Amino acid sequence: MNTFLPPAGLRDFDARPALYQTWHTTMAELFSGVKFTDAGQDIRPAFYSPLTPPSRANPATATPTWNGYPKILTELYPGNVLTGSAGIDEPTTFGTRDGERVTFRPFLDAHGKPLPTQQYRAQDEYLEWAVQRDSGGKALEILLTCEGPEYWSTIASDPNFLQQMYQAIVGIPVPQADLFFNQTCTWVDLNSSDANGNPVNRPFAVGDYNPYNSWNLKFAVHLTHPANQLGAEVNLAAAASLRFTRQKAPVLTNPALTCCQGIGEPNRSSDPNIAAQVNSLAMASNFVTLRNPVGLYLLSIDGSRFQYPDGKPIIDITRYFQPLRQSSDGSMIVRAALRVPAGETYNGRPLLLSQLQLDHQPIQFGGQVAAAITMGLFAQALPGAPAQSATECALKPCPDPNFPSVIIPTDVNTPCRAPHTAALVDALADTAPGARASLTMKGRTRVRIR
Amino acid sequence: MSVDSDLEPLLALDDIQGNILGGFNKDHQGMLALKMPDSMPIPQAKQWLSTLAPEITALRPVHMFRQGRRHALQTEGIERLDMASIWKAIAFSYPALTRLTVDSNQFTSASFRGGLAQSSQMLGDPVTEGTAGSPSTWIVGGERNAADVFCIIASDNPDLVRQELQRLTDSARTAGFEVVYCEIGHDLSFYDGNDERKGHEQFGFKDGISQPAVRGRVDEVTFFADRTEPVPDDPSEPTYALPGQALVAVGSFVLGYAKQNPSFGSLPDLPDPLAPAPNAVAPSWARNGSFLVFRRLNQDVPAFNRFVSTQAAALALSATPAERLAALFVGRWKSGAPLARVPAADDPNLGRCAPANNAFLYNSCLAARDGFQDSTPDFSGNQCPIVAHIRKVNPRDLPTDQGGANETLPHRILRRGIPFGPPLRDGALEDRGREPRGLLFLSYQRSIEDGFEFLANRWMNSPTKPQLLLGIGEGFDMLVGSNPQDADRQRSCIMPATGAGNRLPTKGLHSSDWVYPSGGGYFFAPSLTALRDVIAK
Repeated sequence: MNTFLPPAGLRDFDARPALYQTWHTTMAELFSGVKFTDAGQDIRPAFYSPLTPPSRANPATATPTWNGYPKILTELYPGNVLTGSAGIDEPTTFGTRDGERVTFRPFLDAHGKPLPTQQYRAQDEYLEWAVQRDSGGKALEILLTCEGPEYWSTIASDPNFLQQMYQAIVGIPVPQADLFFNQTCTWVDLNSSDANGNPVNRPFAVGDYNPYNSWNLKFAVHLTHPANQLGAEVNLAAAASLRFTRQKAPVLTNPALTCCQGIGEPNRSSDPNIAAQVNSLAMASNFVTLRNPVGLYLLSIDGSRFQYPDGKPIIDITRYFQPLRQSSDGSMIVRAALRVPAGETYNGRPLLLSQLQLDHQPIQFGGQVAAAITMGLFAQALPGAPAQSATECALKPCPDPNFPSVIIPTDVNTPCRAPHTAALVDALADTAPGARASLTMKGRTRVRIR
Repeated sequence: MSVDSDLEPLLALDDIQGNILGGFNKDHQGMLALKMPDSMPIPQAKQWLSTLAPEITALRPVHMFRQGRRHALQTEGIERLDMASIWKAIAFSYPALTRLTVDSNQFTSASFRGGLAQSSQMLGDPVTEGTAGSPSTWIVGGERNAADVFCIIASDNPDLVRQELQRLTDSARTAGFEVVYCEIGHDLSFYDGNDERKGHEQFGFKDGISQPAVRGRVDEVTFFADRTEPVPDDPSEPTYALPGQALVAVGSFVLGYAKQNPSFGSLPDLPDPLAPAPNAVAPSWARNGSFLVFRRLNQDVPAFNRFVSTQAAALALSATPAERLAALFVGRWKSGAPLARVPAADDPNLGRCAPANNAFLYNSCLAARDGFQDSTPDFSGNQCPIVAHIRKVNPRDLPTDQGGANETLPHRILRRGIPFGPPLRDGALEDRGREPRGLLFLSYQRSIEDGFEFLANRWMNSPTKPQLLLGIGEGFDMLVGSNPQDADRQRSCIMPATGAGNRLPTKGLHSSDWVYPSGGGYFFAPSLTALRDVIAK
């Protein structure tokens, strides 16, 4: 295997073999683009490309896993998945505050005016979903994806093929023009930074692929959240292979590890867990990498949490949970649907998805289902990595004074502001229902090592 | 002393029930489950409860007794038993509280409202009606025999428990309650006087060693839990009371206090709001109360012993193979000595010695300075398998699917169980008596969903969590986990300590689980004030 394979080893490119090479180049650039410097000096991480292993030994595999439901919502709406899910089920316009209380920059047209049609899904655990509803708003089908936008950008290099792929997924004709920008625009990507550490300004021309097109938004064809990218996965794993210290003491655990150099979002389930597992391997003198094919995968759904309308258990969730795009052995799912087969009845009456229950609550939102899904990726380790020089932490985790469990990465020399729990509870008692969620979460800090 | 009063609140020693934070820890404990028939007049029920209310034991006497006993042990070298004391605890089902109070609909917990039987499938119990373990076979807690009121009567004197249980049963019946279940659990040493069995469960393992240390103070200057470990400079690090024993906010177990912060080990998180606060999870009178989970778990000891002896032989384990395989399933040797400290062979001295028997971590070094071999980092589970029961339910400092070590702490529970039924001899492969035996599992927590249900559903019953080393998963908790996903309920695991890739399927050796429920219930254990002034009033 001397090329990067498509995620899950998908065979889409059999119809366009040249795209296999395009994809390989895309991934190879992601891996070769990982550079680490400390005080201007290159430092050598234990990270390697899976195509050029440092030894011929059989690598060990580690699989960081995480829950598909955004962890930040468990902090903002503790114990209330329904309320948390309701706020993120529909796409959010860039430039407005999303259900996770975060605002990304708006897309701007040639005149600098915000584009309201540019939307994304505020679902940030590398799993996104779109709910198909009937005219009364009842959930009929939940489509889930963890396909990276980079893969679909590769497909988009062949517009006809892109159109075919979209049509194959959504099942109805898709006008090709809908998938591409019809005007120039720009977007400042806060999740990426240039060599000087500034956010990257991304220009889009007429005819460029629009990852946030209406078909993707409606049918969850691939990931849209600005942080949900394969590139982020590679960067995170690479950065996590470094040896971090604070005042020369090793930093091995979260949230300090993820905050240390801003290698991921500490308020997620995914990033800290990936960072911790990869870092554990690297600190045990292993070289580490991501397994080829590199991807983010839907590993499993917890069927024991689903019930029929009368509360009786659903014994076999595979009747309703259907992987739609996956590896040939089924171990790497990148697209799936939760739906009731046509014509199915229960106790003599037509059965609808919205009548099925999850944790004894009727299914209304995709977020409920995400909470029953385990995501994961595959890291690999080879023994024999040399000792690394230490990277001293620039940031430390501090609590948001308003949300004591929400982490704000803070300069190591700045004291944390302690939360005043009792005072806050008193304040909450004087506010309207839902007040906890309406309090402002401080902006997220993200520093990328280059 | 300067302490954060949110993190280390003054505990309501005279209001919180003693079994919640203190733990009765008595050798004989009677369980009494009562049903309030639909026809039962509520004033009649309240009358009986108001008589019982003053008898319910608060935290103060339990705490004082423990301090006194330890003092006697230190100064006189004897373990003083207060044979005469009887301690009692009480808890109520959701349906009972909705009849006894006007505002119990403010309890938002879906699991508490629905009851244990409703959660049974999610917990991995057999679902086919009539199958052992399914709610239809339960002797308490099923559709027809769910308990409304649950009482625990504890003493060091078994006769006192028997007498008191009889008295309460009689008076409850007279008041109009239906007695659906009544049973006494005994420490296993009771049956044959063998002190080696003391504190052990039916498979032979010392139980209840690892409990979270509860934060909070009993007075201005005294912490509730013993502490020897330093407080880390970084508030995001977990804090330990004793080596290996993490401190957990009291709000993780009792409502009304700051909860364990899932991101910062030594900072408080907001308490669950109580009415009239917005988004309240419970009525205002739920303060100082806790949710109680009761599971009557049958243990098929011969099946377990047959499995470990057969499989150990097949795996050609060295020296005492069955004992070793059983220890790998548990994460401890039968004495209680943790594999993390003594992976090669049991060390009964370590097993007996607290807190040394709990002084270990999985992912980093811990210098315990107690004369025993220290644990070393074991991320890959070569010493203590990833699937070992004690590692599944408490992964300590390991990263998990939930995140870092701090994320594990909000899921800790306070276990208060006691065995039932006479034990078999160690290693018995047959049971001619057919008398049921097992564990009366009891746990207190602030949330049934985040506590007991989380541990059972997300971790014990998952082949891939909390720690997934290989893509296929290391397997199930072979001790008490179950596999509801497959029709044959087959559980398997990988035992790296016995050679890479050795899988241990249960299929073909034993067709059902060797631990299965035969009853239980979800309850709320109110404060003494709430019991007296709201529920019984």
